[in-house]
Amino acid sequence: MAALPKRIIKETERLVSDPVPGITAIPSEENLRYFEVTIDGPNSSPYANGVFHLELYLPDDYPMCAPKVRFLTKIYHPNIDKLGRICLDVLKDNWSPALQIRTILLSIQALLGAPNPDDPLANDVAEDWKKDEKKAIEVAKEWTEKYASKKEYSEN
Amino acid sequence: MSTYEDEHNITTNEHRRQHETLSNIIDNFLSNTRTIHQTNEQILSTALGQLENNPTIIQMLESLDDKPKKGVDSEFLDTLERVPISELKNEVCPICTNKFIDDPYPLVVRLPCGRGVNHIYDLDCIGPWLQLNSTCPLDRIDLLDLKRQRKDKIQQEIDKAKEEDDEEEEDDWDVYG
Repeated sequence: MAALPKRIIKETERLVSDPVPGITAIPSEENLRYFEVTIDGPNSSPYANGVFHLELYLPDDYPMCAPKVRFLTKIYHPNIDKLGRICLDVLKDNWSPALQIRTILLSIQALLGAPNPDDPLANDVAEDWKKDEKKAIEVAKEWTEKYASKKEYSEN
Repeated sequence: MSTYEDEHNITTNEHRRQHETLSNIIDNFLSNTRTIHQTNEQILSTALGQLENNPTIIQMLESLDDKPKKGVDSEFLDTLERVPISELKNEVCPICTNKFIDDPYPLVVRLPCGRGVNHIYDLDCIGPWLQLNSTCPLDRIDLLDLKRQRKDKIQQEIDKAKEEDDEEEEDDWDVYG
């Protein structure tokens, strides 16, 4: 494997020494481009009190292309599909090399606080969300309790 | 006189059959190939038919269409404004996040975003990005669009100046028009 670029080392050091509140990102020992991530659900959202696990991978051409991020914890959200893939502009067309792991994770946390059912990630949840938002929020809360409570994950 | 068949201890029948067999094989081969070919064609056209009606595919194709979002050429990179080392203080390159002056011979460029902003990068960092995508990483201004707009503006000025010239000659035009 090629040497790890200085930028990745610096980002990793800062993520550990000066973590973003409500977010952890720990590099894997075997592969320093692979991070285990947790994001706390924002307080004013249906995901409050939930801890969501994600995986983040920095491709070889990072930072010329975006990190690959995926939810591992099941989540009921109009912009996240069954496989945990996230529909977020900065992860795709709007990536910029001036963004960093921490800014991307903050954007994902913000997405939890502001679900956008009009963004075209074709999925049933978005449909449900548009049809009956109140009910969808209830389901999101149920799923958070069921799959994203701290106790639940450690048992698995 | 002994025939070819006698000499080789074979019968005409067999001889003929050999030929038939060979041609059969060829025929078979050709017709089989044709069948396979046809089947492939059918499969392909069915698949294409399905694709045409698939909204995801349509979306994908459309997004391919409106994405001639190309990068800049090396000539464009050469013409970027250089920032002399005397101008640099403690700024960091937004891409590698290193201080420019940590490098004893920094090669720093300023992008022409305008509006009084100072978007400067290591040429080594911004070059590969701009070759993929012609936008400034800090404000997403498309530098190729910007260049085109500036060119258009100059062209407009030139056209305007020409028009003014034409107006002076309007009397002559009336005579011939």
